[in-house]
Amino acid sequence: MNPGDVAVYPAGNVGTPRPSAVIAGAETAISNPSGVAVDDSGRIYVANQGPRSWLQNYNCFTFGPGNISVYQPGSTGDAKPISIINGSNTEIGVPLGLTVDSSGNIYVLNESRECEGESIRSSPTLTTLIVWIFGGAPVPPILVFAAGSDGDVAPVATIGGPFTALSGFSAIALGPPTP
Amino acid sequence: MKFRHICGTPAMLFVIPGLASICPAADANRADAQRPTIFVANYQHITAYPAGSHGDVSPIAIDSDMSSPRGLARDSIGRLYVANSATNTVTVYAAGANGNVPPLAVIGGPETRLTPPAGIALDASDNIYVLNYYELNYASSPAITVYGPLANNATGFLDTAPLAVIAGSRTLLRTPLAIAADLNRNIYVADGSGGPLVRYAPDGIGRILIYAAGSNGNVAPSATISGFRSGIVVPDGVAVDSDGDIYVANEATLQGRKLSYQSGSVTIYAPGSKGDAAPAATIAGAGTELVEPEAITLDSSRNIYVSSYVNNVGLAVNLYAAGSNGNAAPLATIGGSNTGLGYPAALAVDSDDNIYSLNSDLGPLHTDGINVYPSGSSGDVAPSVTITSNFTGLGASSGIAVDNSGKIYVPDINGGDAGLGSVSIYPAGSYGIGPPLATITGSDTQLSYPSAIGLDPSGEIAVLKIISSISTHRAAWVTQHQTEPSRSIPSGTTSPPQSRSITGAGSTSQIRSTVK
Repeated sequence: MNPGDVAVYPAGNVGTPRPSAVIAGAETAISNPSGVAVDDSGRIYVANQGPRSWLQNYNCFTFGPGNISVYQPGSTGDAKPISIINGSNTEIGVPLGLTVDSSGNIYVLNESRECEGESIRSSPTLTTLIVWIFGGAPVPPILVFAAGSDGDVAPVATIGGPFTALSGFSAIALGPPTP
Repeated sequence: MKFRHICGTPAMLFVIPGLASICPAADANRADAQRPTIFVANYQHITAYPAGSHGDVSPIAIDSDMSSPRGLARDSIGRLYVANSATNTVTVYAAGANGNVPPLAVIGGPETRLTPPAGIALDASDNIYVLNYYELNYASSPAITVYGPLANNATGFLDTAPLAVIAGSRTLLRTPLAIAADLNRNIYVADGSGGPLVRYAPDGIGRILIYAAGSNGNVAPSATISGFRSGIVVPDGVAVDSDGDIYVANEATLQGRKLSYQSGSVTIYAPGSKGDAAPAATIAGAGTELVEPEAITLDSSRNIYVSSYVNNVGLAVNLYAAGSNGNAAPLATIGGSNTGLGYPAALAVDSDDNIYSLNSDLGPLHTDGINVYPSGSSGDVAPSVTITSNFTGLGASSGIAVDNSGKIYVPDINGGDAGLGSVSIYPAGSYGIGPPLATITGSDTQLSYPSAIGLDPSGEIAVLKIISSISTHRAAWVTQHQTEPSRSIPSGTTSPPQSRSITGAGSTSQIRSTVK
């Protein structure tokens, strides 16, 4: 199974151009990537959702645990990341995307490990997928890591909870400072 | 009761078309002054958080759109109240509202403790009872919040602490699904947990929780109804008539000790019932056309209206005569393609027996709104009134980017007239609330289920589009659009951080991420 890759295209191309670089291979540690960002120095940050596995007890597939891998500017081929943010202290479940600010702080949109696929409960009325959260506490939807974070580090801030009105989130971005 | 504006004083309230409340972050410190605002694309709405946010914080701005609604109620002067689970609000619409209209008033904000509303009921005095719980939400703890009646002339954004909050372990609230109140202000909750344990229901098959009028805090219910004899099996709806008879819509039935969702029931209990009480009447059987019934309400004659799946019709509203019992056929069924019924998550009936059905995004139409059917409607009839309240135009956002000027770009994977996707651009400072400045859509755009977006400093928009199918995310390429011909950043200001990420939507992860 192809764990995924990151393709880089030269500016100004449209349609189906050939990438100028592809980061792929066993050394990259890329595993089902869901998002990519580039900081001002050209470092490449990849959100990896992690391996897909079958949970017999829940009759469904899930991803995770995920991580964030970081590559030197201009990386291509089977490049080894210069850092990987992963481990239980990070609170990363299944990352959906990420972005980086001008100081190199990393903002990760984060999802709990959930079941994906056939529900154990068939329903004639619900056409939407029923998702069953399993095991442990839900993870915060937004994690902020300090610039240069590496290894099993705790986020410097998390945003999550019922007051946040975060639901069904799909992407994260940064904008100008709040007035 | 008196509600106050959300930012503390009316002078701090900024209002833009579509009714948006934008409140400066009260605790923003100087160190955060130049740090970026965090934007998140949620399914139907955008949330933004100031730099330095940490923990369970409310977004900077509150969306007044109807968004993932789960509850509907009508007050004594005909205003309609909708509990919006996505945005932590109750939006209130004028009597006689029709079309894509803004709410008269929005109850929401940190003081309200709406987190997130999953159901709503009003008593005879128009006191407001909100059920707060959504099973897929992050760390949501169930609670009932109670508010006094809304003033007849209430408008704008309203924030107030609830008069009472019923929450905590003694309440037995676990997975509450519906709420009702009787003439004596007793509160009834249909809870999907508790009760007997059976196969496929390790948390129980559900129960009815009843709280005495005036309950507040971590209080035990005054009575519960559950047990095999009671016939309560995954209760999804509850209603109470003027005598205190309790009507329960049960989503499933028991086949021996196994749950079956192939049929449901309506069980009716005498006032004061508790424990494993046998129902006074049970509407169940093949002739009832009850499959996974959910919402239930009554008219003044005690006729019973139930949303249900109906074989060969689909999602529908069934009407049963007052006093029905056994394998009773519905007097009428409203269902079919002309009805515009999505997923009827809640029902209400007015004094003229007009029927109000709340469409929820859970259904196949993925649309939010209220459909009104005249009294006596039956069959595949069009609604006489349709109320929507969607000014952002977002149906299924799949990405987000913000340019240097603060404009917000949001792809919608199913947007546009053809449903092939769109990109909406919202004004700087709007926080993605209210109508967009512009929307990119149409066949010339080559948009095809856009799943992510990125911007470059020249103002070009890169959109990752899916060309194979929504479900796989495997084949994608970048399409580009030129945005505004020029932009300017005032001299002397620091260029804010540029969002340069392209992220994939959803958890299907075989996406080939792309960097421009």
